Amino acid sequence: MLFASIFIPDFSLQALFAKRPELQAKSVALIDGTPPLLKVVAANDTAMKAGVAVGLLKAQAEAVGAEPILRSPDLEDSVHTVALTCARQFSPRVQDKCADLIIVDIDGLNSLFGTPEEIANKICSWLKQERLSVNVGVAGNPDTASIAARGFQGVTVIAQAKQMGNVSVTLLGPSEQALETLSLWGITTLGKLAALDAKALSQRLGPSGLVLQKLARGQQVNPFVPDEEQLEFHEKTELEYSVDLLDSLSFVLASLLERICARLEEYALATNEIDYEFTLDPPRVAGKNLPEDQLLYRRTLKLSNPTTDRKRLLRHIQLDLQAHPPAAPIMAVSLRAHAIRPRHTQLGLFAPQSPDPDKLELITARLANLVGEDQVGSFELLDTHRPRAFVMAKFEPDKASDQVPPSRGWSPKVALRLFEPAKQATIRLRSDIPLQLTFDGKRGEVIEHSSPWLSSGEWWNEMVYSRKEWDVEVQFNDGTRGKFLIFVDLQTNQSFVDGSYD
Amino acid sequence: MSSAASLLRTQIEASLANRIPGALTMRPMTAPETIPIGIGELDQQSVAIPRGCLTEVCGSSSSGRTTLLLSLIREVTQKGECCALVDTSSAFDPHSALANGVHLGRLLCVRCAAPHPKLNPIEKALRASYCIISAGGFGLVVLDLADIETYRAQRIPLATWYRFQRAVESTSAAFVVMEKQPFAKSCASLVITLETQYSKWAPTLGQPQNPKLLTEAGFTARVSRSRIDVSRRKPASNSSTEFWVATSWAG
Repeated sequence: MLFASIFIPDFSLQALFAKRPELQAKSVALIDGTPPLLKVVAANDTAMKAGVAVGLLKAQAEAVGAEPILRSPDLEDSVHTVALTCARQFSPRVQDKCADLIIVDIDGLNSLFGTPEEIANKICSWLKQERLSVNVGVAGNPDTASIAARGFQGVTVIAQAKQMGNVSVTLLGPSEQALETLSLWGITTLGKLAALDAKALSQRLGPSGLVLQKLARGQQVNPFVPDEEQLEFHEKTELEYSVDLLDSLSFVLASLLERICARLEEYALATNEIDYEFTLDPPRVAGKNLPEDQLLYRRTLKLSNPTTDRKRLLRHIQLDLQAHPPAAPIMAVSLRAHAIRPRHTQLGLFAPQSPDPDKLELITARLANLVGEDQVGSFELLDTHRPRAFVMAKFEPDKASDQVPPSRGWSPKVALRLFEPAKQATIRLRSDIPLQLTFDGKRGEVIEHSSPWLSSGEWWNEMVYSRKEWDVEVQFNDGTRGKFLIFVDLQTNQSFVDGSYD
Repeated sequence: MSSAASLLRTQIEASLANRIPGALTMRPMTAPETIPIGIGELDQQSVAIPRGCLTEVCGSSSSGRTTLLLSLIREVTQKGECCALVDTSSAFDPHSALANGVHLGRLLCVRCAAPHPKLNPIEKALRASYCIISAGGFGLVVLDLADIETYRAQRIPLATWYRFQRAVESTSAAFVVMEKQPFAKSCASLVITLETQYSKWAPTLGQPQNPKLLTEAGFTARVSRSRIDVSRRKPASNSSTEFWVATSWAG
């Protein structure tokens, strides 16, 4: 195996100069942190000569004439993407280690790009066009290639570990304690560390010492895990006449989805996320022109299970559009599918029956369309004593824990049936004893009752509650009888029936 | 003559085989698979909910319908199957369900009480139930109409119940409708009617003058209609079963 490691020294600064080359001639200090504690994290040579050092405050850097520039993560991301794109020009097997380090598997590329040294030089010159000066290390394993890229300038091909003999041990990233011990022993280079007796080193530094020595000897410690390239399939169409009916739009969507699904199947991939973007027809928007940013209607459809089923995807988009219709007729449609590997599930002959995940997703979407998104799902109880403290979570029986209450010794319990919302009532009380209950146009005498139960909490937020409640058994005037949970809201002094014991 | 009739019958069946297999052959009636309710007294009396059938659980307020239902849901979720509850009045209390041992992660709940511009809660509930039954894969589907006024529930056309019966008979799901009175008429394979009994209120510290606590509630269950018995025996009209259920705080 052969790996090339691309290292971008002074990454933040190089990223800045790659995008703003005019700054290169100036004295620049890159600052980062939370205002007002902005500190210098990097500076170019001109600024360093002027006295700027890493860790200085912004005001101190300005005092010596350096131009402070705020570090931009977006800018760094874009430069990192450029480096990744370059690596993928040479090989599909790329591991994105960190912002300034990328490892490429270059095994078997001789016939395409030449010798390993030529490949490394091509990478350097490719990135030089993007105003990035990089080091490239080539070795038989990714760890050694990374050390070579960090330890040597330009292109370095490591054939033997001895070549790294003079590289500092700090490049291996040892812990502070291990580094202190090694410096006490006078071990400052990889060559010296590699020459130590492994058993004695293990006794003194433990397993971490052996890992450092393996790296120094040019052995592999971390496996190479190539990243999967994010593939996207994009289809768009412009319409001659604007469409304002979902049925008409469905024909357009169906043809686009058919092409996307066919391409996904060619790649043996599926999709679980589709971004759809509609260009709206401006003149017909209720007699007034929409602002530019509202002329585009964008939504993202996310599914739990990846699919290439055109009908299923179309149905999901239709349901989503029914729930969230655009504000104007549509002139152009653009679909972008994010491709991922299809998921395969092993079913069991003796496993209990459960809904098909694909169908279940469609049903929950349909039900959400019918009753509202927050009214469908499985109950999730909140960690509070507040009554009715629960939310509706997404129904995912596959992910539900298998922990079920024990069946042995279990007996049913009387269930409470809630009134949604709690019914306003009139409770006649004497010394905290409920005597008569009137609600829903019915009046009844309380024949049994519990003592009042006081509960309050969450006074620190808007969900504050404070109530006095009783369990009562009521004999109504019409001869019926029922058991209820009644309460008095102590904040408003109003009485309610919370539910019935059924 | 009989051989000619037999030949004709064979020919008709063969021509319809793709659309209606065994069109002129009497199918032997088999007892459907049942789900035990999980309440000892009812299980002893072999009162169980049939799969692939429509079951009605009727009773007035505080008659034990929800308790019976939660026990049934517990039985199904305990086996690892999924349940669906279509809650017309959004009356389901998940805390009670948890106290009854229901695995909430396997219970799909559809709350229909929220206002809708076109549909009323009953229409939403009926559509949602049909959608769930048609999809299949659920062990139990419950339609809760218990808080719906009788006159409104009676407006549900009989054809709707037939649709439900036809939809559920091809699945292994039990479809249970909880309501005040039976509305599905002959579409229901089993009708269980519940009534409230006296409840037990115990003094908290053993003395009669001390404040009381609801400790147990008594209910009576009666099978008013059963078409799941292969022998076609009618249920005895007076065969009711009394059962007592403790409150969660009484232990």
